[in-house]
Amino acid sequence: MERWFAERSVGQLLPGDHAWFSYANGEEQEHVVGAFLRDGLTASDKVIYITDAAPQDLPGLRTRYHLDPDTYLRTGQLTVLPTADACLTGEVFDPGRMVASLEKVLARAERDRFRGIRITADMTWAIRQQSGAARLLDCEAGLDAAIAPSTTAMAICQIDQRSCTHDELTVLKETHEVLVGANPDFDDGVLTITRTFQPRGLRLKGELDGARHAVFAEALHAVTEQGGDVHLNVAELRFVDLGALGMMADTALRLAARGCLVLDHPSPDLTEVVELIGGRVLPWLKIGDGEAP
Amino acid sequence: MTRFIHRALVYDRDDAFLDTAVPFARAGLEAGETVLAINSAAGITGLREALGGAADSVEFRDSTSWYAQPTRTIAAYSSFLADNIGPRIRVITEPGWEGCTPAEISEWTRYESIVNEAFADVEASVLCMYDRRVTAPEIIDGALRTHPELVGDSGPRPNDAYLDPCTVFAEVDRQPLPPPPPHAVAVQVDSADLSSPRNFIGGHARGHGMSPARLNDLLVAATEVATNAIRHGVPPITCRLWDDDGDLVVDVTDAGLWEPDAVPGFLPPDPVSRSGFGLWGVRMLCPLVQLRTGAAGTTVRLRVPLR
Repeated sequence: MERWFAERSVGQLLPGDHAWFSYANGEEQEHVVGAFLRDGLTASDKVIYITDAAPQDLPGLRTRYHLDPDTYLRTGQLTVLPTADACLTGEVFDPGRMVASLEKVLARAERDRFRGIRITADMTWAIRQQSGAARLLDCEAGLDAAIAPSTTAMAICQIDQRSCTHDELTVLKETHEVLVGANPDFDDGVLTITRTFQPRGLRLKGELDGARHAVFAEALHAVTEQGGDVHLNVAELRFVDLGALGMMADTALRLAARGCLVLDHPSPDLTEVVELIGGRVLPWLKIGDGEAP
Repeated sequence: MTRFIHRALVYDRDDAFLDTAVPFARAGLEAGETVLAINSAAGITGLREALGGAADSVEFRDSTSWYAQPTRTIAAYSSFLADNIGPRIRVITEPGWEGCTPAEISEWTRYESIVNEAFADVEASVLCMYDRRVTAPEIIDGALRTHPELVGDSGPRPNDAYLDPCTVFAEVDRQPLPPPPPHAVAVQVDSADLSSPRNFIGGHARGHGMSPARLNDLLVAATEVATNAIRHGVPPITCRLWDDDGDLVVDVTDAGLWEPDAVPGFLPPDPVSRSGFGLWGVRMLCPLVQLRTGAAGTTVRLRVPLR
């Protein structure tokens, strides 16, 4: 089924994208949603967030990106819509009302001549209500009809994956054509480094050699700072040099008591190199399959 | 008592091997030592039969895989030593080294010499056996310069022709590398971007039919050597490549003078400092690594079989 989705980092979202974002934890939400809000606010887009959270608590906006929501609320660039106004009838999630509210704010933003419009909502609360998953499915179809034809608007539907069953997540995901994830920390066309959150670590793609040791060290440091197990997903890493393997071993040694460093899904070639020269010389490097040990 | 004893026996009659090896092994077992025998399949069979029940207490290893390439051999010994903590280790070995090229023989001679230094502090007696009738004379010559003691009919005696490791190293490294042939292709390595030289090597290697696993070993090794040249060498840095008798040869040259350590990259590095890890890794990955340095610059030559 995966091939039916376009996977995009948050910075690559396009007008008309109605994207799905199921986050593993608050850190991932801050990373991705924070970037979505920041990009919109700094590019003078209209940004609409449907939530009962206080503007000060919008994910990542202040903590990660150091933007003050009040500034943008005052100018009308940022709108925070409480669920009671946007999508509840009584206390109950009302898909029809949510779609109608959305169409209204879209029309208003277009009248106000915003170049781009960004809408997001964390729907975790809705799925927790009785028959929430079914209502959410109804809602998604309406949202898709409103967003997909737009040349100015893009939307992210958020769900905390810890609050849903695997089947619920799959069905909801399939109502979206775009899956959104974190922006790479680094991408120079040869190497891409992207944070992962479940498991916690980095996804490395391309080729990692001496020209990129410094950026790799930086990303490795950031993700290992707080301890705990760290996974490096190397499934799409075509080349890795001995220096980078040594850096991984150093990191593993530093982590030691606080967690381990695991190389997930290495190619047969990489496994062979790690086993040949690893063993006694890089004894801290572990090979894994993306699952917690 | 000498900790490390490294003796050679050069023999030329059929029963000389067992006549020496069997009492040597038995004495070790009786003294509670770990006994390791590295030999060809036929040699192992003969030794097992001669030792009878005592053979069960001996560790046997196949010489073809044990002696794949010098750095891997040293690593295999290091692993064996780490896994077998006993009062003393006794090794009976018949390396063979059949079909080696002169360059490979030089490196094995260097290896025999390194052993004296690398394992100087190890409680071990190593008996290296060479059948003069089937061994290349250059290998015998090497053995006679790298073993501090020789075993004769009347027992062990000091070897007057023994040379210290530094002298052997210098001798091996004095042999000039043959110049690259006219059909060698070349690319300049002029920045820290090693992706393009890898594409260059990869493209030509695939053109010569190199297997993917061998190619990965070569790319990791060549990248390491080129990285070293960028960080410590002097430009221009050139990478040349050609095929030679079923092997692919890659030269990385720079204009700098490399003054390596006494034993550069042959011994497994310390896991914490990992000093010398890069060159050691290169030597683990490539069967033959030759390093020549002088006023004209530094060349590291890697040779990897296509298959």
